[in-house]
Amino acid sequence: MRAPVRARSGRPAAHGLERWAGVIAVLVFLALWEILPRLGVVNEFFTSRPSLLAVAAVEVLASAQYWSDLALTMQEFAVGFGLAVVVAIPMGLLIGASPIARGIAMTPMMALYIAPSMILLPLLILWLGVGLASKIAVVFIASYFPIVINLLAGMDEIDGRLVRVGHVFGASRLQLFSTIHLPATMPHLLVGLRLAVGRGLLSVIAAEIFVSSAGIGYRIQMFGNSLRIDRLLVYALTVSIIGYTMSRVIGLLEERWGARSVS
Amino acid sequence: MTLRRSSWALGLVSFVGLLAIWQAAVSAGLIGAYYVSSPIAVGEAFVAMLREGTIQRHFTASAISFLIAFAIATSAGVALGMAAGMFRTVERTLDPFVWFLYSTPAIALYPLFVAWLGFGRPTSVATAVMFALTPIYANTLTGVKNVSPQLMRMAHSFGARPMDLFVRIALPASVPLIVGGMQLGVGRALAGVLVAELFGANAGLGFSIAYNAQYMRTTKMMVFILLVIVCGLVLTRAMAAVSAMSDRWRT
Repeated sequence: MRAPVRARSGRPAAHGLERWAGVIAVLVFLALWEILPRLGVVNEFFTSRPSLLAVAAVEVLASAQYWSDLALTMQEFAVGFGLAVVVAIPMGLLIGASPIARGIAMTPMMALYIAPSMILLPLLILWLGVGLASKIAVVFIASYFPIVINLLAGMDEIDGRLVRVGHVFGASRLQLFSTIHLPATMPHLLVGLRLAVGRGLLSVIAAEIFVSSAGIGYRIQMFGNSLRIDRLLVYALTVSIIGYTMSRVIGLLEERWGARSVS
Repeated sequence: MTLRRSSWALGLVSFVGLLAIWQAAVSAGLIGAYYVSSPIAVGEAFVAMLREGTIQRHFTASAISFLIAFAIATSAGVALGMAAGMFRTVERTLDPFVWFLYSTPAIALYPLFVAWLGFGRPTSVATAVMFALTPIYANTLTGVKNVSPQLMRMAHSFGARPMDLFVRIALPASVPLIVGGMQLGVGRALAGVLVAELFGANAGLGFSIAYNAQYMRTTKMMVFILLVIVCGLVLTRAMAAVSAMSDRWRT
């Protein structure tokens, strides 16, 4: 990912403005956000202000409701995502092992990988009701297909010669799997997991906005309806922090097991 | 060639097989038609709604929102990505905002858009732009940054002006990555439009799914769900074709 740095070696080192541009931009943004509503240029009712946001954050974080909403959303996400990982990995390995199975399964899987999984939400609600189950199901569907599809893409790239050599030298199936298949598919699997985390999180919030009586998505929707933009933003920022944290965790795994060569 | 043909054949087999299993399960009474409808009923409803013009109306509504959103996301993403790729200060300035957009599931901002723009097309478009912007921006940035610095220096020493550098080297060299970003963006823009329509709109494919679900019309809901899945496949195929074309054009 950092390969482009080389392309810049011909340029002088970052001077002051360049280095601090990000920080300055954020400060300017916050300042404008605070000042413009106060001057009446934009309606505070719709934009809130950073100072109001800070007050709202303290209030919200001190409430027990916030933590129970957070726990509920994370529970829905964790169960759906966990199930997807547990089912998708063996499924991908099984399908990938047989060209015919893959030929048959690929088209419907690809179709569901491409289609936004949220469109299945009304159907899942019809099947499973408006409670926890339909949310877990939509997270499962959103996370399952990226994992399987990327795993299959990874298995495609395994060098057949390596497998044969291993075979000739008497490696057992388990040894072949752990020394050749697993390391070769790991980077693709991690790409799949990264996509799955993003889509899963999106789905759980979307499902809660669509229909629910608690959870982060529900609260965002509720505060939007009652125009409590300050509280809405506290909950929306919570989602950002969760998303950021998860993508960092995957990033760490990628540093350890991801693609070593940057293409 | 034969491999391609056989994979097409297997795809067709699985498609026909799924329809057959679906119909058989409903006909045999294993699953209630209330829950899954049946391929024959879905086909009939599709033809009936096509005659009434319902399908065309909702398809057009979604397609217009999608095209507007995709055009905005692509032009903004490419313009910002180009600027950030050429000027480090711009990249650093945008960095925190891009990181925020990248880690926020854009749907969390949907209620904010509703508060600002009301229900309807502007909200659908805004949501879809938020969905599609980051991959297009990020790919354009990577594309411009990866332009060979030797090539740039050479052109510079032969007297090329900044505008020439941009139009003749940076832009063509980064086209494949930009198209790659657009490929990611297509799916995400589609998702954005449909989700926004699902939550609140008065027309569109997403709206039709939610609307028919409300009245427990499983068959009509299935028609629109399948239509969305087909649209997704067609759009992705089309973008893949564009990508292949842009590769050929570059060399």
